[in-house]
Amino acid sequence: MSLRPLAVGLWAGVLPGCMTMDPFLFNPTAVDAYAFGGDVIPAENVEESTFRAKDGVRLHGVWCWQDDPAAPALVFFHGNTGNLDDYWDRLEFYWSAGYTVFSFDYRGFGRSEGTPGRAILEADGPAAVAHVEGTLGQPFDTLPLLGLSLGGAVAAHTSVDAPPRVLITEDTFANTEFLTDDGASGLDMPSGWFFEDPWDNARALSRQAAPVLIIHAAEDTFIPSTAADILYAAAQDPKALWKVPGADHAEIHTVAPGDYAARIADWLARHPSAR
Amino acid sequence: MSRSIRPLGKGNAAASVSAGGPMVDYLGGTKPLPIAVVGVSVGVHDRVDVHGGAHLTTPLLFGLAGVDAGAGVLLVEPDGPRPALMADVTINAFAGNAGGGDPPGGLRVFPEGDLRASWALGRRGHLVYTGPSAFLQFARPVSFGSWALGSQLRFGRWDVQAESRWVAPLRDNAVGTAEWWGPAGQGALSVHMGARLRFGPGAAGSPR
Repeated sequence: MSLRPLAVGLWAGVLPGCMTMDPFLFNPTAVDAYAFGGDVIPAENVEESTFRAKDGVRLHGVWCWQDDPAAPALVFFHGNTGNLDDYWDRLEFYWSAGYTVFSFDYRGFGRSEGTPGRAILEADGPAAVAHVEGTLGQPFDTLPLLGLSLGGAVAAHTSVDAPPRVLITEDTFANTEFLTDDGASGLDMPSGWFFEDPWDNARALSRQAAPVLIIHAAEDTFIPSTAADILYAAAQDPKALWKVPGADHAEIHTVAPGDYAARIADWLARHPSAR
Repeated sequence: MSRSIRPLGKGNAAASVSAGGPMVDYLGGTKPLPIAVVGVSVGVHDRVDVHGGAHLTTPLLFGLAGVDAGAGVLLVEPDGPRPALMADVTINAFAGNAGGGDPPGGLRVFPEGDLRASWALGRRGHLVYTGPSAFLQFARPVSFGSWALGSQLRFGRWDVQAESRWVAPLRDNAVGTAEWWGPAGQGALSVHMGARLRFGPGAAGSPR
């Protein structure tokens, strides 16, 4: 078989554009079993859970229960790397602050089935909301939702149709335009050159109604903190912005643990559940 | 890859292919971006070449059309240890939209200027060269300076070229989502390889 038609096709633009950078937003690690190490949360307080997204993909999550059934709950959407095990220190942090914590792995992460993609926003986030409401027997608008980095994107998009009591984004990018421009190269490159989805978290924040606290590491070398300015400008009131000096990406809870816990608690106190 | 090291001479031409780019961590390791370019150069004066090129990698990977066009001028003739000095101005243009629709793509034009000092070595006239470049953009007053060091080995009508550049050495490469690799965490080191076939009555001679 001659390769000439293929070569001509490639050159003429019949086949171009087969690749985008969207998959590079995700850096998952699949596992058969979670480690959930550490001695902060007693093993009997840790409960794995499974639920299905609307397209049938089975997702895995974890509950870190307080002994007190009346303890407040917090829902945490993690970042783009690894799986729940990589965020276990955060779950310990929120649990130690007094919250019953729920988190889960997006499709393709950890024990969750499937392949990461746009469905994380459209199917996985809403499925987690339904799972949390069903498990706790509480409407989602009585609960705080906190998203770290990519998790902030999932949280912001999920909140448009399912507003939580408060939304907290941490070290979250504004959109893919930000990633290709200020965030990655400094070159003036339209994100449409490389991405087929805008992942427009700023727009999502402008469309969701929950009180939003935008937290960003001031020395973030992965997602520069100017992303937080864009998110803040886009968000509806009530909103607040806190940039944390001395912190790099995803390390605020270790650099300023006291202030971090206090800011979350304060934002919750200022916006009590309407129910 | 530097396009203008020495002029071809009036009436001569060359066809070239090159590959390489800045070192960045992708697909499980740090390696040069696979930027491939084909081009042609024509000597329109004994001291002036014009050239054009088309980018192969970006259309195949991203549906992104990329072309360039420019001219190189020999500013200083070589004389003993004094190197030849050649300047080049190139306009790079890219356009496309990876997924169609939102987010929108667009057209961007990036002017580029090079200055290369070169020395001829040996009977064949192999060249070693070095010099600065500036890559500009219109959207914001940002330029990406770089310094190139390379060699062009000459085998009859064929040239084989290898070059490394330190791109944006004043930029801290820890900032941003791409993990560039550069000395001392600054900018990105790029690596390029290329080959060129010269045509015309003076194509097989030593470099000017």
